[in-house]
Amino acid sequence: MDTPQTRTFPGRFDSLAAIGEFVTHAAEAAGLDERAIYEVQMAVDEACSNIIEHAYGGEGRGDIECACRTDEHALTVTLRDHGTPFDPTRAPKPDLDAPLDERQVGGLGAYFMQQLMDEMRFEHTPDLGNVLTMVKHRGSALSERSVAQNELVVDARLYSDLRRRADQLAAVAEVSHAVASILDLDILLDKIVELVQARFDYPFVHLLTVDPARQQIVYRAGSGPRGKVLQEEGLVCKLDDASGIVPWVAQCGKAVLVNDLSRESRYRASEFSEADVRSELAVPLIFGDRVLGVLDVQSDRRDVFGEQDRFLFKALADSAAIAIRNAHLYRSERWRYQVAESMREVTGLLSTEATLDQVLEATLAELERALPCDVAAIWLLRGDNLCVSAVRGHAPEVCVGDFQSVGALSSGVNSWLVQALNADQPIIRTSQSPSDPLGTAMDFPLDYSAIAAPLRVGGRRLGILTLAHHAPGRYGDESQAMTATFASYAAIAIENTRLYQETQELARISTVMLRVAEATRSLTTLDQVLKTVVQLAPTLVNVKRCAILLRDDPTATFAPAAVYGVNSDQQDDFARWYIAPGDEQAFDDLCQNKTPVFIYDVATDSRLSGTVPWALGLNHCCFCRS
Amino acid sequence: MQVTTKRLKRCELVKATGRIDSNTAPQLTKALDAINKADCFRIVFDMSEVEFISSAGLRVLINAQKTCKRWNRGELVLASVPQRVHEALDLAGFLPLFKFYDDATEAVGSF
Repeated sequence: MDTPQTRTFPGRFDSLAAIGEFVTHAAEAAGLDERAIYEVQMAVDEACSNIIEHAYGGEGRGDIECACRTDEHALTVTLRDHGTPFDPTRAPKPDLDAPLDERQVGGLGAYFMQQLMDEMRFEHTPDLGNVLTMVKHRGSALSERSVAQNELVVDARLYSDLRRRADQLAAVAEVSHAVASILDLDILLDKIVELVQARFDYPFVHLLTVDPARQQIVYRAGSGPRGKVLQEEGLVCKLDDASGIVPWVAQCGKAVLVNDLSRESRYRASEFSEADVRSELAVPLIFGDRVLGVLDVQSDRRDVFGEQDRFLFKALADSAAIAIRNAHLYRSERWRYQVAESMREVTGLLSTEATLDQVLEATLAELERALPCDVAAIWLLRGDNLCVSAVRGHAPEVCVGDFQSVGALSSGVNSWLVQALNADQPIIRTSQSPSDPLGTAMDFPLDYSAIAAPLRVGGRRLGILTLAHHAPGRYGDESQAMTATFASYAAIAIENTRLYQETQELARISTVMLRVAEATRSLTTLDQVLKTVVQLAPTLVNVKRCAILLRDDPTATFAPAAVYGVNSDQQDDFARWYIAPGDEQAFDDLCQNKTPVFIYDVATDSRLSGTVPWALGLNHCCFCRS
Repeated sequence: MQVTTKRLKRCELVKATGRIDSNTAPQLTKALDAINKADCFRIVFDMSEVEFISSAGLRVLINAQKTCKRWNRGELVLASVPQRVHEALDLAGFLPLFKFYDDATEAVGSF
């Protein structure tokens, strides 16, 4: 764009306002900003005042021609007059720091012009007269321009610094980006170390995380082959270590910048420091008010870290802290998902027709996936004994046999199990608790972890579920809630099975009873009825043979009436089986007590001596009076 | 440019409107001289309506300040100085020589 505009004004002070307006319009049209427009107006005003005062030596002695030209870079203002040559570009700079009394009032105008415009030229030719050319660049108000000038002066020196700083800021941005895109903590920490080393060019970079549960600082990532070795070895140092810069930073949560390690009392040549380290910058990774880790940067030269590094690395550390926090959240989210999956799996089994053993196995298997454990078992209460019903373990030597002989609940080794059986909530083993059978069988150290959850249905104790892990402190509130849930699943499964068996039994009995009832109603003779009864009774009580002897009241003798489940020879034997009072103790007892008599072993029980039961192949007998 | 002056109990309030350049500066000089002639050297210059000031205007201010401050008899203080005018004062190195107030009332209260 090239739009010259020219106007001539009389060389009088009252032209100044009009000249000001003229250049203001031109400057606005040139797209200068408000501040630059004002600066152009000031410079032109000063120039015209000088022309009237110095070139013409007073008002009304000649004209001033003002031309404004705009191109893509700048606004150029040209002032022409025909007075005595007066060059404002050569005017000396006034003393701007003098006290009030010594302040000179002249010379300010030329100084303003020099300061406010980007370029200024003065020419005098006999035919053109005096020509003053002033240029204002677009986007160069005074302050910005002075910054630009400063930059020019120190450009060479600063360029590399700025470049480096920009690179480093890019590294911070890259780390932030990585934080947002990498969820695997190990990969992310490696990436942070790699970026810091590449962009900041410090030879040794280490990243450590704090493990508050074990009061340790764990080496997680480091630069170079040495870093890899330390990372694989899983180097740890104590959190409460009194010496060393890294423990100090981890404890206090403050950054430490040391430019000469030989004069730093906290410094200690630790395991991961290279021998020739001279400077160190360690910044804590803080999230909320917890120190999650330490970013440690070391150099083999002195005085390499500036205050700016402290800020940059703090920014980096903040990103890293967020990353670690994210990774933890992601991990625990995954865990929760896994737990939910496990529960779904187990409840799914409950509603299908899986056997009790399958459900118990599945419960342990899912628990094992969700919680740390070396061995897990479900114990069921049988009478006064706890018996292992299902067991799972990492260790190959663990098998059900090891735990079978648990014995009575009162014995000392099981007091912890008894406590769990009677507790309302799962209980966690403390290092003072006695060992449980699992721990003893696995030969764990004394401070191993274990948790035991009672299996209950409606206040009825069914058994317990136990988990054990060789390391201390593995179970907490979360595990407690989870084992409680799984224990109640197991309890429901056990109860379901029991109810199912009970129902089956009841159904069977009802069926048999119905048949007996039907038989007694439709049959007419006593013989037929007795025959049906001896046929049905075995299915009712699950025995092979059944016989009925009828008592003849006058003689008080039992006579054979009906038999089931015997061959023809035995049938003949049975037909001869008459029992008079005093013949058999069992029958006498029956008559006298009118309660059933049980004989568990015909061979040894003296109450039944006759040879007939023997011939009939009876081992156990039960005589009922009807 | 228009200049108004107002006598207050403890000082004189001067207000200028428009441009203060080589053309109008003598007018301001005249107004300030008149105040000094009346033996008043405590002056508040309200610049809220000043659109433009050139070195000629600054010259008036520095001369007036010299007169007012002589023998510690008073002072010229500036009130409601617009940003561009403030930048010009800064460029001239005048900031240490004047007291600045956000508004005229505050400036008047300073005396």
